[in-house]
Amino acid sequence: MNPRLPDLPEPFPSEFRVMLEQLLRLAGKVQGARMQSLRTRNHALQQSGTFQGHRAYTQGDDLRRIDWNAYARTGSLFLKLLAEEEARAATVILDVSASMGVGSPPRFVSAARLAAVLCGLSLVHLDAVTLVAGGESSFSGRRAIGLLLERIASMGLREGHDELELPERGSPGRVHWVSDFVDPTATERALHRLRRAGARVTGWLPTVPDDFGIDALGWRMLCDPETGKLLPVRVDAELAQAMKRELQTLQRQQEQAFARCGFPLQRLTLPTHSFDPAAWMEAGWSFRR
Amino acid sequence: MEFPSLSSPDRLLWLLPAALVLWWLAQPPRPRSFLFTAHGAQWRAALERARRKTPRFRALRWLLAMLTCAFLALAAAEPASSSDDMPVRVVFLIDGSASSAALGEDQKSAFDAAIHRVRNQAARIPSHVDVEVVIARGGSLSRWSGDAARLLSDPGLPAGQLPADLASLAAAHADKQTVVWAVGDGQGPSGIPPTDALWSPVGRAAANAALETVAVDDAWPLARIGVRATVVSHADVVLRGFLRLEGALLAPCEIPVELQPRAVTPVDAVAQRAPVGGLLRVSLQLEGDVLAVDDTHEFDVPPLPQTAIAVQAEEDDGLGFAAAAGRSLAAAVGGVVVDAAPGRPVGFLIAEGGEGAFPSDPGPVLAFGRKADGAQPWPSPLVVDWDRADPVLADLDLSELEIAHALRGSLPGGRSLVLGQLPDGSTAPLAVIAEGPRGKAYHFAFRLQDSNLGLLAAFPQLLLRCYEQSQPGSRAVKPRTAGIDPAESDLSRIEPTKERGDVRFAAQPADLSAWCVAFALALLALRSGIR
Repeated sequence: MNPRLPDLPEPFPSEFRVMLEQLLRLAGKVQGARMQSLRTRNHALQQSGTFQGHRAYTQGDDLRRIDWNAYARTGSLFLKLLAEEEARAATVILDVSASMGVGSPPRFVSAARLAAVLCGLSLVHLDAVTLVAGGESSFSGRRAIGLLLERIASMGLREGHDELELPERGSPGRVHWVSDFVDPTATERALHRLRRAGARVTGWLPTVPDDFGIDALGWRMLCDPETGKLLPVRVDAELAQAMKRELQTLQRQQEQAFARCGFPLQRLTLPTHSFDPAAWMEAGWSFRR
Repeated sequence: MEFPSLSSPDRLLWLLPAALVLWWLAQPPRPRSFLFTAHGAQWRAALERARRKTPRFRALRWLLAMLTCAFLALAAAEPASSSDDMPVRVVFLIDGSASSAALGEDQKSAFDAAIHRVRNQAARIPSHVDVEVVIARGGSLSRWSGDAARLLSDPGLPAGQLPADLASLAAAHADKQTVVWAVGDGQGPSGIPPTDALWSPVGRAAANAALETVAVDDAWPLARIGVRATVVSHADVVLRGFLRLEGALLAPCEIPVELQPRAVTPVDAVAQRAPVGGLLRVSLQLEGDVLAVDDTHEFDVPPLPQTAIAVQAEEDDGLGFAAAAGRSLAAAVGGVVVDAAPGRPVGFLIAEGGEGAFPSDPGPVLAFGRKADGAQPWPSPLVVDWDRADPVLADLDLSELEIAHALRGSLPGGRSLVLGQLPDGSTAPLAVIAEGPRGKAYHFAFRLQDSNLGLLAAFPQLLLRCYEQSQPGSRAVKPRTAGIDPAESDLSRIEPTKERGDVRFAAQPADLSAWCVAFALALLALRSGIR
């Protein structure tokens, strides 16, 4: 009987929720978010973009987007819907395959917290965010952060081997892809698909110690959580060194896959037990860039 | 190619646990600590780069180890080559029917001669040949094998008939590697020597007569006993001798007989039984009779009943009816009438009138009109029915029984024999039977002098039957032994036959254990060279 992955710990303790609120208040200092907000406002001012259709005016809509010609023809107020409307939403892809359960604490915990931050920033600065993780869910408004956290916390890892999960509806626009990217070939294939769909992808890889080598020597039974295959090995210093070189090769392959598609890959190590906003901002992730 | 025969095939069972242990040992070691990793491909590449192989199940090495174990188990089972088709087993089939008890010229029975012959033959048979002895007698087969068959120390006695004819039994035991050696007297249709088996004759033709049937004419309770015997002669000459009766008799009795050739002769004899009973032996004693077991019949004879008849009557009876009944019964059973005194043992008590209840289980008693406490007068009761199935009243006519007066409520508990009608139209028993370990007691609710029962024609029979049925224990003479089957008695038609005893057995099989061990070592060496 094959062993089972240990149960996932609570990804969003109360300390994290407090820190998330603080991070979102500091979000204006995040360069990526500010640029996105400015660009969206400029597009709205220029009334540029592809015309998609009308929708009825509701209280609170921007008066500058009212189609007055349509009002002259029909006597009712309508807003023009442009293609840039879609671009104001971001898509966060969170890998929920079984391989994300590896690590201590599991890589999925860091990935879920990172996805929560990314979604929170998108809800603050954009109109909506689409979370792709075991299905697609759309959220809008800052008040949806709590709902979004519940959604992420309630999902579990998928059993067995799983294909990469990509957004299915419309133009994905800005895509934040949080994964372990253990298969560079499949990753590059998916990046090409996303690029053809017009998406701009940022890859996020939360690291775990297993990504850099193995320290525990001895008689081990390796277990692949996706396939369930077992591999008995006797780990000695020589094999550990060879494994370290293979992991370095994997890192190069991951970066080359993203580079060939023109997308950045951010590899960051988040604090697992510290929820100090300053420590998180220093953790190496680069919304500041 | 024939598989070699195994001396201890049960040792092949060692393979089962050995296979399980080897399978378990051949499994690769299983680490106890698990390491989950998402980098399975990188681990495999690292193993290849470091030129490491993961431990795995080696089917070929396990197969060679299993073959090694198989050869060792085969060696432990002591394999031996079967070199040719010659017999490796011999079955001695001995005719143990009753006719083989006939004596030969050396005063030994044919059965003893057969046993002696088999012991001698078995001693000459090579030790690697499996020997089995089958004695057919009494409708069944007795078997010995191995060393017990070669010694044949307790073969028993001849008895009964063969369960099947000798040829069928020989055919049933024969096969490709088994030779059947029949030994018998050749008597009767079932004892004819089998043609496809070896044969050793041990019998001879002889004159014989048999006591075929014996019928006993029992005059119980009288001491006379008659015997009618049927004697069959299987001889071609006249045989003379005696029919002797002895055992449970006052004196042995011998009746001279003269048997005509091949004739059935009835012989009658009469003797007096001993009162204590015992074993009665009826035997035929002839000169030159070689078969004794068909000359005797035995019977178990029970003791005779006591024939002292006691009569107890009231004074006003004047000893009329009761005394006459006692005298009549004593004459019928050969007994005497004695006085009824307390503590005196008697065979039967006739009581007329009297007061008070009898003690429980008084033994053989016939009581008339005994007045118990609380008994009520029952004037002129009408006899309405009686138990016609009871052995005492069967075929007796009581329709003319008239009773002047009886006593109601005076009978003890028991089965009703005679029913009378009460004045209110209902019925009540006029006679009952009470059974106990000491015998049966018959109670009538009226006195003989108050009825015409003693004058009825059925009364003597009723009196005698009450005496017979009231006696405790069994009265039947039972046969214990009844001679032998008539077909076994005729020894005159035994044909002289020749002995057929030429047989060659297979050579000593070669022991293959060493070869099996050598194969196992070779396989072990081959396995050590495989990684």
